[in-house]
Amino acid sequence: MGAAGRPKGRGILLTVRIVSVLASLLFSALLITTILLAMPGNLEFIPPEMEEGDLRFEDGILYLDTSFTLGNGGYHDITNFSVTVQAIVQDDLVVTDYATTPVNIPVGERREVGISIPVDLEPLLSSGYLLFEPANVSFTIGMSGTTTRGLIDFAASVTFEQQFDPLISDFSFGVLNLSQDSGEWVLTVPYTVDAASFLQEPANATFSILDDTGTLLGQANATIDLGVPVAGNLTFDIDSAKAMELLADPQDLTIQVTLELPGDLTFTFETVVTLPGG
Amino acid sequence: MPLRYHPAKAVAVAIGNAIPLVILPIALMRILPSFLPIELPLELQGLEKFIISIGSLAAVFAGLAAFYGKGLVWRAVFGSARQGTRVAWIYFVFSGGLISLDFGLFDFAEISFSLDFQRLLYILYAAILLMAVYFILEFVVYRETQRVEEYSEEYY
Repeated sequence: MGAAGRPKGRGILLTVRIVSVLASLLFSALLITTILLAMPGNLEFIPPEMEEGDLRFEDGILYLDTSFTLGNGGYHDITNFSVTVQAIVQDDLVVTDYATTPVNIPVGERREVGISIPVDLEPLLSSGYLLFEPANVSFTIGMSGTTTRGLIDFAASVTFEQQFDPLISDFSFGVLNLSQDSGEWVLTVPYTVDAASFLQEPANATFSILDDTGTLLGQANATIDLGVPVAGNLTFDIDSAKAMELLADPQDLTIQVTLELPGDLTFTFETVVTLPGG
Repeated sequence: MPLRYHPAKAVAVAIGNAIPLVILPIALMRILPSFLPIELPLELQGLEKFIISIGSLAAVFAGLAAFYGKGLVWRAVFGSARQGTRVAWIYFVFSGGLISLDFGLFDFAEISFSLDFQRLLYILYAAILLMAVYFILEFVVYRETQRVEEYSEEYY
């Protein structure tokens, strides 16, 4: 270089400066336009409209089928967008933990995201929740995705609690009647059943009646159409000697109920009934 | 005063840096909450003090870097310090690229929101720190020119 001339390396300096300034401006712009995505109107969410048919019971699993629409009015494509749903009964039992297949939502477009949330009733019934008593179910609905050319991950979730009516609200027995019919002793037990309307399936029920020592006195079977209030009578054939004993000394009896729902869904409960004094 | 010092440019650059780093963010923090449906968390008050202190420091460093002419070591020092404080400013203002908000909605639901833009910030830091490299390179490139000028001033 000359004494007052231009120094060598000015080209490199200029390049470094231009790259730095342009990169700073570019990534600042990406940051600002991403934050604008959170502004109202840029991320459009059309919630699902729940209808009666959205709830279906299939092979022991309850499905909630619905869909919602998400529109991207922002400045960057959204990739790997998925929705998760978690339901916890009484802060204890996770009955569903579901995630949708990830979708991409380009700028200016809308995507309908279909969801089919499975709720496995088996652990619910075996744990005794939602049987005869309402239970609190906590739902966490989350959504997550990536935007701004894969540089930004976002996630949002909403958690709310709702009280649900029991799946089987009533399964009770009326007054027992021990009588003789054609020389055979028969114990007649009236029953009523009321279950959630979506359980519109015939269920096979097995009833076992036991005395106060736990001895099996008789068994009965019935097919119960769930979903509507049902009333019926059970008849147990009782050994004549045991029948005479019960008549002479009325005692508390136990009825064990095993209800088999479609999809190998079984639940068992027992209740104590009293034979009226003769 | 020798020509290698630029006081007017220093003041202009310092003010120019104070606007985006201090004045504008503080103004937004004072004005925006009145338009939002939720109350801003208390931590933002601490952030306001931080913006004022680090933002002012970055503006002062920018002014000092502009004060010294090319080829002077203090321009490289303050220029690099300016870029360093800018990175610190961005890191703290944007919580290191991890923003997480939790709030209740009418005692009915709890809403949480999180944003992870660390990868974007890393690139932004790199771009900003490239400017610090620029100041060091500039010192190396212009050092000889500056020495010749100093020698000329002393000789004549």
